[in-house]
Amino acid sequence: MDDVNAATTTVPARRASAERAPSFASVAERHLDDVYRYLLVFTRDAQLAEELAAETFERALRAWRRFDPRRSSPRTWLCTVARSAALDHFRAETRRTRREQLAADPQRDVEPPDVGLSPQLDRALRSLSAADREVIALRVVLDLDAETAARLLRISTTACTTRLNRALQRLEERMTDDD
Amino acid sequence: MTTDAILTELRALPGAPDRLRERVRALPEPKPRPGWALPSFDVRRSLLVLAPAIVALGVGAAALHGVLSGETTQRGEATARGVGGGTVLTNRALAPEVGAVPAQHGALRATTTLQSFGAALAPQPLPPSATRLNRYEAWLRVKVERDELARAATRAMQIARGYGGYVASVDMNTPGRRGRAYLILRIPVTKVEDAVLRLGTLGAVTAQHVRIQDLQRQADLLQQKILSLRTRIAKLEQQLQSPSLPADERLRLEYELQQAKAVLARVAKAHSTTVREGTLATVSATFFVPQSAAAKPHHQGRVVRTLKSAGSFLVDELTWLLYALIVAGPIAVLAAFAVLGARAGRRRADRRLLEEH
Repeated sequence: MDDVNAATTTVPARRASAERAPSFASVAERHLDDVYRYLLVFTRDAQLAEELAAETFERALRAWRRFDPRRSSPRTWLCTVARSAALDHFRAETRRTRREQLAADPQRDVEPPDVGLSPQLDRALRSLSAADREVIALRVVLDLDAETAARLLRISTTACTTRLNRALQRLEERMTDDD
Repeated sequence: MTTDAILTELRALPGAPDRLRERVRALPEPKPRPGWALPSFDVRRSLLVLAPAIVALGVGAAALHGVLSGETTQRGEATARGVGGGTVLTNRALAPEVGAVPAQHGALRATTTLQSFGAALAPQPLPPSATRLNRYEAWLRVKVERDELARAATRAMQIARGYGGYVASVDMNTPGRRGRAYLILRIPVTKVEDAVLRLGTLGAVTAQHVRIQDLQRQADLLQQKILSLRTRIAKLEQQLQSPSLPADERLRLEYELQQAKAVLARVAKAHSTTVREGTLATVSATFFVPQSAAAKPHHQGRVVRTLKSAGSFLVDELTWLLYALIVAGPIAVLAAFAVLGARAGRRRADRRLLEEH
C-alpha cells in the first residue's frame, strides 16, 4: 500500500512530508483504475461508473486541501469520495425512479451496457444488492484489508468480513443456479 | 465455476477507459495549501492531548495559587507582629484615647482606655496629681499562661500589700485548665502608677482603663463647711454660757447646737471619706487564661500553608468542574444522542439504499 503517512507531527517532519507528498495528478493517475473498477462493480454499469469516477476526481480535486495523508492512504480516501458520489447518485436515482413510477415510465427496463465480465458472473453480480457488490469490490477487486474496508463502509471489521462471506456465498449460489 | 475462478475474474476487470483517463488528466492541479492554514485536528487525538493538558493546567494553577497565597500570608503575619520587641499592635488595637476635661477650679477629669483584641498591650497608667486629691480608678485585663493564674493572683495581692495597700476582694474561678481571677485592690494613689506597671508584667495586658477624677474641690468645700460649722458651734456654746439667757431662747440655742454638731459629724465623715478616696486608688485586675485555640495560634510552616492553599484551590476547581458537568452534562448527553441518532439514521438509510440497488 502506497501510504505516505508521516509518523511524526513535528514541523520539520511535516514539511518534509509535505515535500514528499505526491501531487494530485500522480495520485489520480495511479488510482484511477482502482476507483473505476470499484465503481464498476458497485454500480454494475460501465457508463455510470465512468461518470461517477470523473465526478469523484472532480470532488477530490476540490477537497484536496483537506486530504491528510496521515489519516488514510490516497486510495482509501479516493474510495471514500467515490462511495459518497455513488450514494448521492443512488439517492437521486431513487427519487427519479419514484417520480417515474408515478408517471409510469417504462424506460427503466433497459439493460445496462456490458461491464467486461463473463455473462454468467455478470448476471450473478447484477442479482446481488449494492451492499454486497460494494464489499466484493473493496475486498476482492481492490484487495483492501478488512480493517480499511470496514472503516470505509463505516461498519465493524467483523461485520465487514461477515458481509463479504455472505456476498461471495450468494454470488456462488447464483452462479450455481444459473448453471 | 469455483470461488477462486470468480475471484480471479473479478480481479481481472478492465481498467478505466481512455476517455475517462483523458478527462481526469485534463483536470487542473489544485491550488497549493496556504501556509497560514490551521492544521486539521483529529478529535480523538486532540482529546488525548487536551485532557492531560487541562488537568496539568488546573494543578499548575492550584500550585501557583498556593505559592502566592502562602507568601502573602507570611507577609501579613510579619506586618502584624510589628517591630516593638514582640508587642503586637494590630490594626484593630486602639490607640490610647485620653480625654482630659478641665473642670471648675482646676479640677481634672481624665480617662484613658487601651484595648486590644487578643493582642498584648504595654500598660500605660496615667500619673496622679501629686498636689491634689484624685479619685484614681484603674481596670486591667491581663492574659496569663496556663497554670499561672493562681501565681499571678497571689503576686498581684503581694504587690498591693507591698505598696501599703490592701486587697478589697478576690474572686477566682478555675474550672479545669481555664480560669479567671478578679481582684479589687486598694493602693495608695502615690504608688498606683508603679503598681499598675508591675501588675501588667504578670501577663499580657489585653485591655486597660484608667479613670482619674479630681476630689480636691469637693474636699475643700467640705473643709470650709467644717470650719464654718465649728465656728457656729463655738458661737452657740459661747451664747449658752450667758446666765441672763431666757429659758426659751436657751432651749432654741441648745437645739441649734445639737443640729450643728450632728451636721459637723456627717460633714467630717464625708471629708474623711473623700480624703481616703483620694489617698487610695481602686485597681481592678482581671487575670484570665484564654481558650487553647485562641491562646496559642498554630503557626504553620510555609510548605504546609502552600499545600493547604493549593489543595483548597484545587477543591474549588473541582467544585466548579462538577458544577459545569451538572449544568452542561445533560445538554452534552442530549447533543451526543442527537448526533449519534442522526448518524445511525443516515447509516440505516444508506443500508436501505444499497439494498434497493
